[in-house]
Amino acid sequence: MTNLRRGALEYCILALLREGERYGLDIARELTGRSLLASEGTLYPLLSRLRKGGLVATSWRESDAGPPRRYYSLTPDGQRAVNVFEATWVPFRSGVDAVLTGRPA
Amino acid sequence: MNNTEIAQVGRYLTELEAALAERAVADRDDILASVRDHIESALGDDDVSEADVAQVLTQLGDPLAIAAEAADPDVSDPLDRGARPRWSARWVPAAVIALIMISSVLWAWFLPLITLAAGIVLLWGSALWTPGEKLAGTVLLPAPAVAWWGLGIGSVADEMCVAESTGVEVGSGQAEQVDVVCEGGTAVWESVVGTGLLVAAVLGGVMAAVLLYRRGMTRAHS
Repeated sequence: MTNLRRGALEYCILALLREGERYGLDIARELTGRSLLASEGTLYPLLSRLRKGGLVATSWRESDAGPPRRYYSLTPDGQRAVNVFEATWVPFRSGVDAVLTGRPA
Repeated sequence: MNNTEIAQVGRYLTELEAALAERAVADRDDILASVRDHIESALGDDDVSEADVAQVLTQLGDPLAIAAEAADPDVSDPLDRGARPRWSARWVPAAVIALIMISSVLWAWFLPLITLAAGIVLLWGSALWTPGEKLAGTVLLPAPAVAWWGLGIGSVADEMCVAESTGVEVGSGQAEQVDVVCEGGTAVWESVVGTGLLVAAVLGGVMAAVLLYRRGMTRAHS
């Protein structure tokens, strides 16, 4: 279950970046707000892994208030990965839902 | 942030760093930098209380949980799709040579037997060498030690005598001829043949070690 959850979570991170770059705290707050992430800190190993895999890029930016922040953005590979995930996930999810609720095929 | 809060954050980051190091996480600097950035973003430049800092750190969660997430081997690493050849890390060549050569010198005790076996298993199991090189390694790496012990130089150089009987036909009535052959002792050390064998064995062992190490390192996974 942990793997399913984590795997889906990585794509949720990528999906959040589709609309544009975001900084870590912002991503963490959104995911915990949606009950997708239990503790904010575990986001960073995932981001580090996505960055190493070339799906996400990082850059340091000056912020309006406070110290420079690290921004995360989607790479073309990341874009493709999340599109493929979406195309697989949507029918998969409705199939699982149907089985769980006992709807006939 | 005053000193108390800075110390609070420092403690958290030190704990996280130690937890990441404990699990030998390769990306620990990256993770540490992004968590530090998270804390700075969350606290900003404004005056923050100890309670604010505590809340940010609580929401970040247990440093050990972060390290566990970072180290989880079940997670497929997008970069690491192809399986690596077996036992092909850069430490393997040195380990094989050290295990075999050192263990065979110390073979008088029980533990070196296990480490010698471990070295040979590592040598044959590793994807770094061809079967011929593995055979050469198995024979030649322990050769200096075998020569050392076999020629009685490493041990107390006692003279060893072996009684040998020459073949006698049964029922021939002939008295059995027994020759006593004595070996070892200082005689072997002084003999040209013994010294030559020892030098050859040491040279062979060292050459095999150099060859296995150099070939192994050029093929090893960085």
